[in-house]
Amino acid sequence: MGFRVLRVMNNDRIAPGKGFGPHAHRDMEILTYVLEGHLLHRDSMGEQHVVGPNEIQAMSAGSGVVHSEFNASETESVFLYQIWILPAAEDLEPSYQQIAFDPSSRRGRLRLLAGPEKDREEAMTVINQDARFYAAELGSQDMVKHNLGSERHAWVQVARGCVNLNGQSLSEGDGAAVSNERELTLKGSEGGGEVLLFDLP
Amino acid sequence: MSPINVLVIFYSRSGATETLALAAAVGAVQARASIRLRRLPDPDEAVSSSEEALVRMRKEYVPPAESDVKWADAIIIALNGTVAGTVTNPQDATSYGRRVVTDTRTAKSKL
Repeated sequence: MGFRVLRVMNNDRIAPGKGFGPHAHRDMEILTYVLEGHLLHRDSMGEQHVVGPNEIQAMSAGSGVVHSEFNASETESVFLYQIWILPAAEDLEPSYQQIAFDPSSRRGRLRLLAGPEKDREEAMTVINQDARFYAAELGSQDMVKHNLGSERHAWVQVARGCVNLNGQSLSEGDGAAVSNERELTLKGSEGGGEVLLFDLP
Repeated sequence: MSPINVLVIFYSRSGATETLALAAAVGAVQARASIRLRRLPDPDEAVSSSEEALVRMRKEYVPPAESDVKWADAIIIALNGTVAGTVTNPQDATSYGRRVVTDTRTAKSKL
């Protein structure tokens, strides 16, 4: 895929004990959002962390990073989204961030988890691109609105369950590319759902 | 210019040589090469579970295959705590990786 600065929107289910051996990345902002289970991350910067639900990991590959990602558990599988965003500049200093957030902070609202600058009191990660990543868990009664600035685009990804976007019903795994719209209205459905929203240049 | 393919082969039990191999690979990536990291198999299968780094590396890496060697334009070998016999710290290994890519590129341009 490729939509604006969004390069990859990948959902992976990794079996217990399995994973991806050391491999390289360059010039990419890589976000990892875990829905179930735990992922063990190790990289050439010396970072070693376990990432689980209600956390966001942001790795800026910049001039070059080698990392491995393995299921941290020998019994449960891990289900995650990995998102690649092109950085605003090449050859940046590689960096790693990981924050935990209160799961209730994304219930019925769009919770900002990554953006170009820390502009809220809530914990979030900072990426080298003018793109914003929000997550929201929507129950059947929930409705949230998001205004898109002029010349802005959006990618809406349904991580769990079903949601309705501007009258369009979307199911788990569906993604919608949005251009030429000023307002996004997201509604929950019976059984609820979780949506990932990317506000893109 | 098509990227240079660099194969980094190492052997490590404690993880120290792995750190050098990773640094050499990062240097190659900084020079815009594609890399593959391969760990040589252990001569002896017995591992005590206390050897955490060894258990982990056995899981994370695969040994080099003939296809890796065919793929490679350049090969960096890290054994016994040195990269190609001269490098002993990660920073030097990073510049070594970059230099290997530059030298390979120069050599290829003369072919």
